[in-house]
Amino acid sequence: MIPRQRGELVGDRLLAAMLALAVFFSLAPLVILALFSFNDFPYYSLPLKGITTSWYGDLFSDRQIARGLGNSLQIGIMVAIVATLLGTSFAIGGARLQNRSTRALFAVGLLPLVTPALVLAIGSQILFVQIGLPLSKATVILAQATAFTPFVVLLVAARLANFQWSLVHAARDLGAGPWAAFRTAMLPAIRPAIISGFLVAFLMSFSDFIIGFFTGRGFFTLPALIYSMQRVGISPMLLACATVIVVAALIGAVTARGVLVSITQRRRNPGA
Amino acid sequence: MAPWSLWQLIFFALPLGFIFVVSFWHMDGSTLQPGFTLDNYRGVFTGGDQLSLVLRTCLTAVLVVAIAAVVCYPVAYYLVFRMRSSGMVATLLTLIALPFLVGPVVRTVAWKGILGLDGIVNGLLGTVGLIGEPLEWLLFSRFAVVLALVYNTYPFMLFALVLSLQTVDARLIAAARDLGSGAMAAFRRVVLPLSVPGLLVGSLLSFVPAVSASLEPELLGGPGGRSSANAITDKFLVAVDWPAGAALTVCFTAAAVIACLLFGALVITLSRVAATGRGRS
Repeated sequence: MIPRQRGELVGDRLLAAMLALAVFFSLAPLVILALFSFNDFPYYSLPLKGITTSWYGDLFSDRQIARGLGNSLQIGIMVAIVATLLGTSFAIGGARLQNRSTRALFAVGLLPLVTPALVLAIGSQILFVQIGLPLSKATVILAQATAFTPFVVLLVAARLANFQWSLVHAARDLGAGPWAAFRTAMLPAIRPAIISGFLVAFLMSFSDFIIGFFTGRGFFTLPALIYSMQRVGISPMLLACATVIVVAALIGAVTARGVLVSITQRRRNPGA
Repeated sequence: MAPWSLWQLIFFALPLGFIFVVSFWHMDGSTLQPGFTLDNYRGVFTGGDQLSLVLRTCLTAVLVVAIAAVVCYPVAYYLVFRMRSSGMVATLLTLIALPFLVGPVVRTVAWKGILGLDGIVNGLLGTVGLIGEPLEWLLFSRFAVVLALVYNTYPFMLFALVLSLQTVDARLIAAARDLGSGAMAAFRRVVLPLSVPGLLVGSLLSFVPAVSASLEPELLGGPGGRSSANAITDKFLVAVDWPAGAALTVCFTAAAVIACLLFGALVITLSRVAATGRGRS
């Protein structure tokens, strides 16, 4: 802690207030959305009339929504599996081989993070059509895995930054094969990051609109369905649907929190 | 590392390469014809409002990033230097990042109802008597787009700033204070310069989604709120003129890269001025 003067306490309160405001700013729209999904009024607007769960009844009995949800789950799980495998192996390789060329390759591996999803979506559509791959769920999975694998790389690499490689060497010295050494010495250390990476990749896919919009044809994902339905007005059933997505994101965020703790702990007060 | 690098070559490098190549092709009726023509680029530079739309989209994104930086810096500073529990810091960061995880459609839908004429903001302001008539400029306006884009992108800025401030040795600040500098001076001369890399990374990570967002301008921006992303989408899916769309995408990307570099240079210059009181150190 840094020694403080009286005037700084006022400054601290101001900073704390800004933090509270930021949390409020992040959560308020989602809480309001969820609130209105229980409002007994057929529009997304005031007045608040009373509490009903009937919109959720509509939601869960809607065939189209169920199909959209099924498509999104299918694509999301496949994307998460592919991204986790690609991202984890890439992060481990990058952490193990620390020389100039692998570092450059590692940076290139993160490039999709700074590429607009729109641009990647357009390019992927052109590629798939030019090589004669019909636009389908499979093409959406390919394009989304490309866009979202770097998130897995980042999470796993952050966890690996303070990994003791001597553990793996010890396991090898004691006679473990490469796979057994990975499973027993490294996997327990990076498992939380892999799980968070899987969840983040899934959620990114689950909530993606633009990539699916360009690279898929003939079916609706859940976000695409909400997008097309809101054109004629935001019904409370759509709000209920959106609220379900918010809850899914919340579950993912809570799970990923553990990894954040390790990242924030490690770098606190370096050198201290 | 090989699998992902190989994957990138096919599904990342090739698509981007194809956009560039197709931007020189042309449409023959409704089929795409390979060839070499600059007509598509000519179309971008002479065709009505395309170029000014690109410019406006970039300016909006720069504004969004600047707001995000100003909002996030004090929050990141407080999280890193004033909070003791890293568990608490992680919890707060997760909550703040929630909008990012719910995706663009849910975020945009949420704002649409909040900012509408019968929305909760107008309702609250009306109830407490601050306004007589509902505010019309809340929704379908530039204000709505900027607000939604800040909401959309500021978690990136915050994360980058937190990670970068965490590498600042708190003892350096203590040393500066011991040597007699005030709190503000210690911040300007020690913390700010060391956090410039974080500011730059945060700016880049929030600029990219802000400049290419299509849903927010389309659904919240009203008739004058279109962005380049909307124009590009129309070229591909409404006009079905892929070469024209590809050329527009290339120009848009080039403009975005230039805007990003200029903004980065501005951040570096401003932080130098703040640290030393003059432009060059």
